[in-house]
Amino acid sequence: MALKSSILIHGTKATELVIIHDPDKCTGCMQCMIACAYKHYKTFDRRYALLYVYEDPDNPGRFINANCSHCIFPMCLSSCPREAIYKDDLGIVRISPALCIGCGTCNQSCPIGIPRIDEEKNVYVKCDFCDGDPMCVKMCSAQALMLLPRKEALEYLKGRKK
Amino acid sequence: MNYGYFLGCVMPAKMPWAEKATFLVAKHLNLPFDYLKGTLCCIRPGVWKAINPDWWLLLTSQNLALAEKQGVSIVDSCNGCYISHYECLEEIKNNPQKLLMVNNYLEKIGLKIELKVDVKHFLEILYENLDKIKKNIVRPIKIKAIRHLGCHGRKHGEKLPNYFDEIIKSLGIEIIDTPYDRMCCGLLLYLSDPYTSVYRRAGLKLEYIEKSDADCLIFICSGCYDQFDRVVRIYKDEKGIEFKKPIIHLSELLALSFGYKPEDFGMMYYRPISPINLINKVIS
Repeated sequence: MALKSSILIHGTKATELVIIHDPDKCTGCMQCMIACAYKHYKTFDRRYALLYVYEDPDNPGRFINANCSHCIFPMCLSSCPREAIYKDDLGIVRISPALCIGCGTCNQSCPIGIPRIDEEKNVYVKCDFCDGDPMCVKMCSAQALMLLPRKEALEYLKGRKK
Repeated sequence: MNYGYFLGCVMPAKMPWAEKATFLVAKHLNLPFDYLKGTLCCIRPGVWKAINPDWWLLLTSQNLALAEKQGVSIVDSCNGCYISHYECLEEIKNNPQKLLMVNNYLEKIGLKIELKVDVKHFLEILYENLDKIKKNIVRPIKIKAIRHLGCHGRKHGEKLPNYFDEIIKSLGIEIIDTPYDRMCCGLLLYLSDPYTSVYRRAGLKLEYIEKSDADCLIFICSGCYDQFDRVVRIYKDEKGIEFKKPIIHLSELLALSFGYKPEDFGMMYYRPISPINLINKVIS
């Protein structure tokens, strides 16, 4: 598998789809985080999750979600000094734990700070899109998390801003 | 089609008044209601689906098969039970391989699913009978209330939330909107992060209700009640705060509006917040 391809893959099956979040539907149950933590670390401790739900400080009872968009041009990938971040054949942005040195540049360069340190392994970790079938989306009863084609997702978010 | 009411875990253990009131209401409305017999736990999807989707599917499908054998549609008033049964049925309907897998196991205990079963939320049954409900009201409930539907009740968008509101309003109750109406009770989070679950979810709601004009909190989901009941006790033990506004199941208010007395369904007993002030207000 090529590391840091010079031609970025615009997306095949997986990256044509993207996870988006609608705060108007979110109930803050954090089931997405719990399911993610279990899927990747076999624990229900939400601190192990690879996506994040925050209470909106300006709006009580409203929640904001931060999850990886597996960007077409990932800033984490371009900033990694060890070329440990790559897009795989499905277009999923991954961090190679063998190459990561835990410097945190990816976290700082990501507009929403998605990669986080795994304190046990001392490497950065991030959403792996559950290899194309994200558990967080499946577990969201309120359907605040949605899996949509990237173009439709953009339209949905633009419409919501209006 | 007759209805098989799925009791779930919490209702018989923590809220016998809701169970009794639900059956009083069903009988009053001449609904073909009985208990769904011989069931397992709903196999809470929030936990089990994450651990192993096939285990969840297999165990939950046993309840569907039992309903099919008894010739009834499953009715759930707990949102967690509803979503587990509903999603299980959807999955085996849309995936023949999963149906085959489930039936291979079920036949070992003499059960089979032929997809004749249906899963309904109690709110759907009530809403279908809304005209009958309105005609049977002999005691309008002149109170103000805050309502809590619960996360899984939002599976079909605004359908169940609207049903919930319309049924509440039909009783004469004035609904007070709050910023926390949509917010989760925190039950799903309790094992993962107890502080957030207690103090940043159900606790926030209860604190808001206490300061508001509302006479009570109205709920429908047994899972949410489990959390509210726990949080009331934790606030008392850890902070010495005693909430005064009671947490009331929709069926209790329906029963009262149909003219039943609180003692007909044990409304006064076995609850963390006494409903005496509410009862006095409704009865007077």
